[in-house]
Amino acid sequence: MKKIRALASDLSEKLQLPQEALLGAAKLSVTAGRRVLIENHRGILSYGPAFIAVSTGDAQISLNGKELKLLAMNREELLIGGEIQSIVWG
Amino acid sequence: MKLREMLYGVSRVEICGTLPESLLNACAKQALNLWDLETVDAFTLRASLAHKQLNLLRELAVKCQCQVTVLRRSGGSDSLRMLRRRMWLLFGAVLTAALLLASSLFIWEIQVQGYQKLSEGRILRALADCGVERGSFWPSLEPDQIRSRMLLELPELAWMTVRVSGCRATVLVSERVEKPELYQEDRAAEILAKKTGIIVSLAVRNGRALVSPGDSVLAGERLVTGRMDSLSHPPRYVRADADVLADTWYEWTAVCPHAQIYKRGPGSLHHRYALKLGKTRINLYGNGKKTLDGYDKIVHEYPLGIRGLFALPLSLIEERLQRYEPGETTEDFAEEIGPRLERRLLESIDGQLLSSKLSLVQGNDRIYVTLRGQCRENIALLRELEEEQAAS
Repeated sequence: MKKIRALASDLSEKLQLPQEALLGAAKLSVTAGRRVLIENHRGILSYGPAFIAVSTGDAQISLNGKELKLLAMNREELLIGGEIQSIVWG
Repeated sequence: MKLREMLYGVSRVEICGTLPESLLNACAKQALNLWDLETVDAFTLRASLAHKQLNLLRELAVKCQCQVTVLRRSGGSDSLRMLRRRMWLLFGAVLTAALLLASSLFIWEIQVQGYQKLSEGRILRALADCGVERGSFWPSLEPDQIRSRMLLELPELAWMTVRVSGCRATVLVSERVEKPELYQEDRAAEILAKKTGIIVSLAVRNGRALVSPGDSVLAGERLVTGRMDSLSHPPRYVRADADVLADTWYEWTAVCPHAQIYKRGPGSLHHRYALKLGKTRINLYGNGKKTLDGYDKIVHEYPLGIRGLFALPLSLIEERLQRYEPGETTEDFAEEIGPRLERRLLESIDGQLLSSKLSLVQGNDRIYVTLRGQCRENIALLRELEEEQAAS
């Protein structure tokens, strides 16, 4: 399975196709340090006003900040608002 | 509250559990939308969701070992439930809606556009005769019939149309343009004297003059004939055309009183109110038969509704009663009357005023102002000859 994913990843890079569309890879968008949109997430691991951890399947996105709040959430997307201080992907 | 939330209904819930995040993930998988998430502590979250998804959230909460408590419900069926407890409010709302719906089937406002010479009152009266007035049931109106009847009632109209939108009728009229008098060159005519006077000059362009400068003529006397006699041929009839300048004299008398009564004030101001429901007036004051001598009455009507959009059959009438005291003045009105007489004389003649003289005669309680004026004006009056006249 891992081999197939790696192959698909290589293929998408060579064909210059967006990985989030082809592989369902997570995509993180930050707007003005106040709003974070995570697409293709795999669920919330931890939730609090100062720290939110989101699973992307093969990695974890950790958001640190103040007054963090989950504004909206559905199967694919997750919108977080608040004062973002740091984002760690890994 | 947002309109969407008010319509569909929103529940504010508190989620308690060792891992409330697991419930969030389960909700996301089941396409259960949560918003306004708020962390109370490490084990407690608060969120909003639609009413209809509350049962699904409870099911998921059981699987994720969480507890769901509803904190508040608003909008949707809850609003209806609230109305059920307040039956009179519901009844009032339904009744108002029914009345609004019923009243929109009647005309409560009539706007007339496009009139110039005709008065709005005359058009409205004619419309009322055709069945279009305040309170008319507009679905029963037939615009074609109204148009036909209106054109018969008011011959000055060229065409008209009635447009009904809601409870407002807009009547658009177009007045008939008078056909100009056509100049018929081949029609025989003669020139008569319009007024009595002494001829000063004649400029005859067609026809034969019967008078000469210095002659005195009476009103109606023939000045220029259209019959052209010939020694060798039978008489020929032409269309006489001439300018006839003559001196004319006028004597106009106006009467004015020695003293005039005027309103001294303004005095105290009173307000009276009334309601007009359809055609029925309900006075909101007592003693309605009280005479209003010594008062100026100014009436304002405020129809209920949105201006230009719809009107209700209810209007508030405000009457302002301004008290005044009658006073008497003996100012010299005669001096004002002289120039007014001269102005009116000039307006009535087709020429100029050569000289004028004013005289005042004092009566018992009146003053007689007499204007004697000499004018120079064109007294030519064209009269077409009938075929029989021309033949004779």
